[in-house]
Amino acid sequence: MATLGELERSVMNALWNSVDGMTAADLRVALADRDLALTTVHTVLTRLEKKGFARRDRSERPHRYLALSTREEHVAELMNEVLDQASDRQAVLARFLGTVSDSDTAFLSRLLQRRGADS
Amino acid sequence: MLFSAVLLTALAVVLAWPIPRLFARYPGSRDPAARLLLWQAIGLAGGLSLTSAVLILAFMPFTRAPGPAEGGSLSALSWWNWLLVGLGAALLLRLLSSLVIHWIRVQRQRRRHAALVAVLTEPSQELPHTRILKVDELVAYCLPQGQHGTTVLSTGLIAALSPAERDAVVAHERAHLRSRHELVVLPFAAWQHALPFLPAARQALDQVTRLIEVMADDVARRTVPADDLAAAVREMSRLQAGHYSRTLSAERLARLEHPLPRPSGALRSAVVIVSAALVVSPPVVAVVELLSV
Ligand SMILES: [Zn+2]
Repeated sequence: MATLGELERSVMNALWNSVDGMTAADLRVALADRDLALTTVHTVLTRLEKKGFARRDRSERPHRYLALSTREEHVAELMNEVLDQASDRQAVLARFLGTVSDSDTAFLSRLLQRRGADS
Repeated sequence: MLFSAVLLTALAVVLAWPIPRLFARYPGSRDPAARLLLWQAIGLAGGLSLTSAVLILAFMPFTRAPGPAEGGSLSALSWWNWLLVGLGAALLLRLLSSLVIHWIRVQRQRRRHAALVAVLTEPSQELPHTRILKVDELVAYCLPQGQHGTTVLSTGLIAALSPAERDAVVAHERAHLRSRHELVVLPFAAWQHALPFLPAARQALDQVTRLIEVMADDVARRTVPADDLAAAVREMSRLQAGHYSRTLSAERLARLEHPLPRPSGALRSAVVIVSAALVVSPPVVAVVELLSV
């Protein structure tokens, strides 16, 4: 039995791979091996929307869901919190996520640029 | 009385400046647990002594006159007494509220981070409570969440380290989680946030975060060979020079390369007594002074 977290990850991976978004029915087909009920897919999508990972295109019916940012952007966000580049204390601050400066965007943008150049 | 107020203020100043400076200059970690206890006592006693001093000064008209003071009512307090009462209350409130505010901020950040981890990492096939993040950087950290907490390892780290070294890193991270090190760091991080102009707050946070690294190594050594952990630390600081402090890595390596020093019982007892005295004296002095009204 897959947890909600695992479903969220599967759905996000599907959204990241899709070009112009997917409907809940599309997602149900894409994740056919999990044999999900459509309501479950909707629940997961609502959660992802709330968490800022996905957005809904309401211009047509059924609604299409799209990833809000690329996977790489989210990885960069995570890495920015984890690696405290200027610090003299081995990322432990970031490790407990208590003292990472909110304004430390220079590192984030550098990481993003580098990843952009890679791909 | 004026004398106790001055004494407590002096104590607060000494705890806020020369002592942390001295501690930071000699960051010995022979007995990191004792060192940590002292830092906690210094932080707590600093705040308590300053608050107590301000409160004693505020109620001076009551305590100054010997014998039954005729002005034994609140009307005997002039504007500057009220100012000091306000100052003392504000100080206490600031220190306490910064803890709460910081706790909330950390929780929010942790929730966001956990959401990121959930969609970006995969559960490890081999290790329990461990998730794998696909990046080339060498990353290992832990998230206090749920009953066991989660350790996050990067594929870059798994590729760079041998399985034994990786297990040593995991043991180190699990030691952080088991010892609840995030709670140890919390007050120091909160006060550093609340008092950014105070060098002692920064030094204390810096030293405490170093101490818990050494303490996590000490715990990890009970279950994994120190050599493997040392090799992992060496490799991580070599490959990720920008992200890992060289001094801290050197400090950890120096300790890992030798048998664990046996902590001295006498030193420990002394530290416990000094810490308790530091924390207890300011409020006791304040209560005695205010009761003698
Ligand atoms: Zn650590």
